[in-house]
Amino acid sequence: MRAWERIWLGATIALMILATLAVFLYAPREAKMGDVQRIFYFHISTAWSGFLAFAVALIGAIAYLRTRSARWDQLSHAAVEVGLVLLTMAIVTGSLWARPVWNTWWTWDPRLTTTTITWVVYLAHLLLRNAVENPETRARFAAVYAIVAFVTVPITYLSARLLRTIHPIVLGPSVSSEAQGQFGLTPRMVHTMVLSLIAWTLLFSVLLWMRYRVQRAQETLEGIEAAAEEA
Amino acid sequence: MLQLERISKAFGPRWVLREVSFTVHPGEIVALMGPNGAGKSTLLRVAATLLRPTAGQVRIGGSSWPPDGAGVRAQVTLLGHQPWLYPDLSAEENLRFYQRLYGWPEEPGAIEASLERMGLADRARDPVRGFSRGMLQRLALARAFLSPAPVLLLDEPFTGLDVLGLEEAREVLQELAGRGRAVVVALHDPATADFAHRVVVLVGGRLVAEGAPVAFQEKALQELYQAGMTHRHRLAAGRPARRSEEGGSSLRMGLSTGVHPVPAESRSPPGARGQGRGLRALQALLWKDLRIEGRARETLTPLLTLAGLSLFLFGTAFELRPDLARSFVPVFFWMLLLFASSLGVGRMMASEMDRGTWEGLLMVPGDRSLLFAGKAMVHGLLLGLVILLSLAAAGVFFNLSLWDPGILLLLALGAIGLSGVTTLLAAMAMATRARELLLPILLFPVAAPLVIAGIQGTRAILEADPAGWSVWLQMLIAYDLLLFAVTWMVFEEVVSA
Repeated sequence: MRAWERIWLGATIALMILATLAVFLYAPREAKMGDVQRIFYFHISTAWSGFLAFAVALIGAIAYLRTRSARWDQLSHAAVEVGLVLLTMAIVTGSLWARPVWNTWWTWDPRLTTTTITWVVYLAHLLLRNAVENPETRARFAAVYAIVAFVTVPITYLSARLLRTIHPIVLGPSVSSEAQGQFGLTPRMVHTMVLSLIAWTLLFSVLLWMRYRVQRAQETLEGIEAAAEEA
Repeated sequence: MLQLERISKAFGPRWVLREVSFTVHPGEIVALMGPNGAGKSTLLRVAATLLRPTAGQVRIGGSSWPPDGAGVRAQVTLLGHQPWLYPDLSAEENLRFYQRLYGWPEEPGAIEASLERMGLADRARDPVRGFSRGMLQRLALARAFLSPAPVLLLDEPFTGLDVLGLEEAREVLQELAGRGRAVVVALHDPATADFAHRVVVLVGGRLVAEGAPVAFQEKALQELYQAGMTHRHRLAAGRPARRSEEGGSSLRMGLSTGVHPVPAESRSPPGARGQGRGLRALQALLWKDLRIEGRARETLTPLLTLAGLSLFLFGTAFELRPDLARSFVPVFFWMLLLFASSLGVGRMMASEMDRGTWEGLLMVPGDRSLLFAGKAMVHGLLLGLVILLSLAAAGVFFNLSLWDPGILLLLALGAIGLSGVTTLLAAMAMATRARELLLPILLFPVAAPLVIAGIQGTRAILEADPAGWSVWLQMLIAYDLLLFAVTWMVFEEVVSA
């Protein structure tokens, strides 16, 4: 590991510890929901990082189709994998939060439904990669599907803003009068949320970089093996 | 003139072609020879724009590939491993279809003349299904004969031909070269290469030798293949080698072929004519698919049977009261649309690929999104027909009238959106290992917002909620447009290898 990578990793670990401490020790207890509301900081941060990962996957996909450079495909692939892990965490933390607040682990609310659709779309993306043998075709198809898949991301974002939903909108106004679990952010809550968002974004970047390097190493190894076979 | 400049092609880490360069002049026939796996077919597919070279360029008449695949494609005719023929069309219909799809001039009697030339005049109206392998190959050659393209690429065109057919095919190629076409023909039997003006030998993806056919008799080729050369060799012993005109370090054999460039006939390349070419190609695609479906009923009949069975099972399983039917029937219809789309479109695309005709479609000159439009239109029509007939049956089974303009509008929009995205995803899924199994996995989550909006909108109409219908209609239109635009834009990337 190079020096700048060690600094990057160290800063991420430090910020993650700081953000976690802030969630439990600095952020105030929410009046109506109590301590369970603290899961909000993990929920929103993982959701944000997950969707950021899919945006990176989209950029990688477009860049691959323009340049046909394997690096962009590797980046896009890494972003989808990391994004899926983060979005899974967002869904699980959301479900844990829903149980005491909505009295159910799951409901087919527009926001939950569209988030699940996005999750399944990117899972299908991995299955597609797995079903194609030729590396070039795999990269091309994966890039195309990553572009099509991203169409579901704005739908997920807009679903809680345009449709009747019980999912709260913490940032910005909600059109739904049925939102349950809505709460106002105090300054300390905002500080904790911003710190969490930064820490999780950094964690995402580290995970992305590591997965990208593993993918590169794997493909380089395959190239060496193929060259050795030919020789 | 066809110029291949330092063409290299890698499939992942494996190099199949390495810096292959040569030029074919108008009126010249070049035989491409090499052992199995030498890269002959790959080279022809690169030259025909079916594969993108990893490095190097193909140049024909001012167009270079990459990037200008459409420009090069407009000047090339490829006869591939597969004959690209539709078994349910007659010989004449097959030729007419490709004539229109590729925008070739529709001169009266041209099709009849090409069939006559290949000895198939008396079978012109017979379905191709009953043709022998040799007759299929003759018909494929008749298509090449019909083509006005200045460059002809043929991959093992003598496969399946008897002695007479082989001689006729060689004469046809010589005749085409005599008209100024540049012809490249991949062969494996050196005995059949003597009609060529020049032989180019590939071994291990490298151009290792080129020269007059007389220098490449069986024994010489065997030695060449076994040697597994890594550099070009001179075969014509004692003849002075000269630098090739392509440059680089390659050597060209002393040739005495008597070939002189022949000016190509003054027929304009297919892609350059008229703005109506795209429309004519679109019509050809629709005509072909609908005619085949009308004759074979490969997709529509199973889909209608599936719809009927589903209606029956759904009806008997739930015994829905009218109030419950209003809530559940929309779910049934939109799920039916989704499944019909996956099964029907998947089957149609799989048929194209199994017959090997998909590559023939990809050779369409110009923008390949034309194929997307044509296929999506056919698929949309098919889905529309299934839904309309199912709606009529639903009135009987559920005692519920669904002939509401609002519902029909939603279903029409759904069919349009689904046909577009399914066409794109089917083109990908059918080229993978999982094929039909993968298509619903790719399609269902992407189409889910569209289906949900459709279900909610239909339900809103049945429950007399026009405001609710309006909201879901807007969502459906927005998602439809977004999905259709994205799929249209990326289709070329799916089909351009």
